[in-house]
Amino acid sequence: MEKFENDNNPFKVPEGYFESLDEKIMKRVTGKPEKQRIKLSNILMPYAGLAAIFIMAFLLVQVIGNNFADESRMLQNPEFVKATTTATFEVDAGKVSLDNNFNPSSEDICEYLSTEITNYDLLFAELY
Amino acid sequence: MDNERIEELYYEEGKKEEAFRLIVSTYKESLYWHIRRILISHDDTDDVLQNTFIKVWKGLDEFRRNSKLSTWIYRIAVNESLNFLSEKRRKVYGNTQSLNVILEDTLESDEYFDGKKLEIVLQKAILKLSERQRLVFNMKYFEEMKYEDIADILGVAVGTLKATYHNAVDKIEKYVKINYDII
Repeated sequence: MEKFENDNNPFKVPEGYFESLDEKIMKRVTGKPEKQRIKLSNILMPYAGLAAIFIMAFLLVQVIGNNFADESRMLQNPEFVKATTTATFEVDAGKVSLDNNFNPSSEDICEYLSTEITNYDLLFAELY
Repeated sequence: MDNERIEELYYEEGKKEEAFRLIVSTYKESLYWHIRRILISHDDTDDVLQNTFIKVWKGLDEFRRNSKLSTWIYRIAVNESLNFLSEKRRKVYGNTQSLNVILEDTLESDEYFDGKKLEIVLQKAILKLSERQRLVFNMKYFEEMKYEDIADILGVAVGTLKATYHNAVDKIEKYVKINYDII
């Protein structure tokens, strides 16, 4: 029988079928998984992550520990304790002072107010 | 790589897997097309091809050199394909349909069949043949095998094969003459 003209193979296969067939068959026959290239970075990645977490935790402990140590050292210093505890507010019969050293006179207050407050109408409206 | 080299490699200590890899790479394509022409569907062919290679792997220890390696492998493929077809006919169609009708349905529905007018007519003509005629025609016409090799694979005398092939050719030519202009 003469071959028909143009009788090309009408049967097709999925792309890459024959290329992947060997490994598919070997996997079924021997039960061995397909050989894969394992990158070193893939192996080291989890360990690198763990190391980073430990380093972060270590630095955090160091910083917090140092802060506590500084604070306790400062609290033991009388000069520091005095300097930080004198700035207190005292409100007594119209006298306001921030600390013992700050005690403005009536003139000082009036002068301050005359420079700071410019809208007198509003001020008077508030008072009366 | 010829069959003798594969066999020698197989009998070397610890080289069985390597020999089998060579069998797969040597025969995968020719065996695929051989099975595909019997089963028509790509998915069915893929299953049967893998099963064939598994049988080859399991049977390698029993394989004796009284027949050619290629003949032995093709014989397994033919048996696997025919068993698959009769199982499919029984399970899917409940033995109500003839194989020709089943395969024609498969041809029309297979997404990996892309034939032109003449190719479709030719394939339909082949599907009208008996199972034996189809096997012989495919091996001779498409795979261009020698009668002696086909006879070894199918276990049939060469004279019978020649008669079968010529009958198949007659039927196909008549079918194509009638149907090529109609389709």
